[in-house]
Amino acid sequence: MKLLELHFSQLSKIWNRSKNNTYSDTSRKSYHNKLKKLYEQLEKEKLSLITDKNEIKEKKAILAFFSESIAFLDNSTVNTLPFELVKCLEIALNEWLAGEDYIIVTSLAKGLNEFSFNPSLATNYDQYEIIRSNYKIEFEKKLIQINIPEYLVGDYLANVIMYHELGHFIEVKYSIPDVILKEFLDDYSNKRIKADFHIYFPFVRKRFSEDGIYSDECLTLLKTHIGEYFCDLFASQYIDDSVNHYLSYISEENSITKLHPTTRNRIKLVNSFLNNQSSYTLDKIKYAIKQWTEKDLTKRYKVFNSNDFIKLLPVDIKHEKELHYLFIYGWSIWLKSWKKIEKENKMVHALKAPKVYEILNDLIEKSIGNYIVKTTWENVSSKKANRKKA
Amino acid sequence: MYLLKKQIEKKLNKDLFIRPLLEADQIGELTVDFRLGYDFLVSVQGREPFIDASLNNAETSRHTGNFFHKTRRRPGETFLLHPSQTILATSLEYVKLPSDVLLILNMRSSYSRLGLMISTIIQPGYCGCISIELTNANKNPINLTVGARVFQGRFLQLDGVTNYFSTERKYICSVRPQLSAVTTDSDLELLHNYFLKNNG
Repeated sequence: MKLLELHFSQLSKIWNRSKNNTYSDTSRKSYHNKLKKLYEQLEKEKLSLITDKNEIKEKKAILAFFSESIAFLDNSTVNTLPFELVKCLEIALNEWLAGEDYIIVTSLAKGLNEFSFNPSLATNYDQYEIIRSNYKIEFEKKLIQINIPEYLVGDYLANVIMYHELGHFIEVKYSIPDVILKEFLDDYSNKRIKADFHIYFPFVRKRFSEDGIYSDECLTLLKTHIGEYFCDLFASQYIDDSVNHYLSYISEENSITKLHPTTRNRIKLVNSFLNNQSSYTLDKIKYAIKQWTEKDLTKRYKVFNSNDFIKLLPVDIKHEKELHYLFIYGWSIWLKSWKKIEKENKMVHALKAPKVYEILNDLIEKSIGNYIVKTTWENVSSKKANRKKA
Repeated sequence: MYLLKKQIEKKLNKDLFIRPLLEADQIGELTVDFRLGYDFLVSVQGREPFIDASLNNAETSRHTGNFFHKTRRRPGETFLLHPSQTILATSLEYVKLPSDVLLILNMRSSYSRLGLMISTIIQPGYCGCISIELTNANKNPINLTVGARVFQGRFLQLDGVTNYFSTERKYICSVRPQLSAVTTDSDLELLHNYFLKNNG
C-alpha cells in the first residue's frame, strides 16, 4: 500500500524536526520516548506490502495517532507551553480525575477565537490497545489536546475559555450528556418534565412533536446542548462568571445553532448556578452529575482579599485554589474604572486600555509563576533538609 | 546612603516588594541577591541588515522583534550564552521600589569573573521584573542556570521622593523581557523631522 508509505514519509519529516524536542517535565518526555520506540518499529515495517483492508485501516490509525501526538507535543515544549495556564487547568483536572494519568498539551491555532478541545488522543482507547498489542508499547498517560489561539497565549482574560474547553474533556470522559439526557427522557416519558426545561431546550417544543424528542436529530441536538451547558457550569466552578463576559462578546448569537444553545440561556444557567438558585434543569444536571461522577458541581475557587493588582503587584498566592480566583480578580479590575490604579500609583497620565491589558495579564502570569516556583522550591528545599538530617 | 540589611528588611512588604524572595539569606549586609528569570529574548541574525534605531527609514526598517527569538526555561535548566551574544533576560523576582529608593544592579562577582557584565540603575517607584541585558565578553560560551543568584542589588536612599509615573511609562509591570521601544521616543520624531528638513 504505497499511500501508507506516503503517510509514513510525511510523519518521518515531522519526526526528524521534532525528535530532539525538550520538555519541561518528565511525563511529556516519557510520552515522547514512547513515540520514538513506536517510530523505530514503524520504520522496520514493509508498509507497501500490506494489502489486508483491516490492517491498512489499523496502520493508518496508528500513523495518524503518531502525527497528531507529535503535533501537540511540538507545541508543548518548554518554549511553547503556557505552563502557568496549564498549571491552573491541571489543578482543576485533578479534582475530577485524581490519580488518572493525563497530560495537558496545547496546540497553537492562528484564529483569534479558535479555542477548542480535541478528544481523539484522550479518549480513543482502541488506538492505545492496538499499539500495545502490536508493538508492546504502553502509553500510560494520555494526551488531553487543547487548542489555544497563538496570539492569545499570554491573555489570561480570554483564556478563561480554556476552563470551558477542559470541561469538554470531562464531558467526554464521563459521557455526561448521555447521563443527563437519560434523566430528562425519563421525566419526559413520565410527564414529569417542567416548563423550565423548555426554556433551556426550546427547540424540543418548537420543532419536534410529542414523540419527536426521540428522533436522532433531536437527541443529537439535546446531547450537544447539554454538553455545552455542562462545560459552562464546569468552568464557572473555577472562574465564576468571568467566562460570561468574553462569551457574550465573541458569540453574540441569541439563536440556537447545532453546536450551541443561545448565549443568553448559557449565561442564565451559569448565573442561576452561581447564585445558588434552584431550577428544574439545573437541579437535574447537578443531580445526574453527582450520581454518575460522585462529584458536586460547586464553586471550587478560593477567594483572596487583595489590593495587590491595584498597587501593581503580583498576588502572593497561598493556596492552589486561589490560582483560579486570579482570573476572576483580573476580570473584576478590567470591567471597572482604572482610576483606582492611577490614583493609587500617583499616575499623571491616564492609563490606556492596551497598557491595562498588559498589566493585568503580566500580573496574573507572574502570580501563577511565583506560586509554581515557590512551591517547587519549598519541595526541593525540604527534601534537601531531610537528606541532611538522615 | 545605602540601605543596610535591617533597613531593607524593615521596608520589605511595606513600600519595598520582592516577590518571590525564595530564601531569607538573599538579603545580605548591604545587598540583595537576585535570581536569573526563565524568559529570554535572544538576539538572532536574520536577513535584515541592521536594527534601525532611527525613524529615517520608516518604510523599510523592520520591527525589533525580528532580531530576537523568544525562549523559556524552567528554574534549574540552563541557558547557554555564546561569546559576544546579547540576550534580554529578567530577574526571577518582581520588585516594586519605594519612591525614594534607587536600585543599582550589578553582576555578582562570581559571574563578573566569567566575563558577564551589567550595570543597571532601576528608578525609584519602578515595578516589574528587572530587565537585564546580558552580553558574554568571554571567549567561551557560558552555561547559566536559570534561578541562580546571578545579580546583586544595592539600594540607595534618596533625600526626597520622586514620582515614577510623572511621565507616561513604556514599561509597567513587565514580567518578561521587553523589546526595546526606542523608536517610540518622542525626540526621535523631532530628530526625524530635522533630518527631513535637511534631506527631504
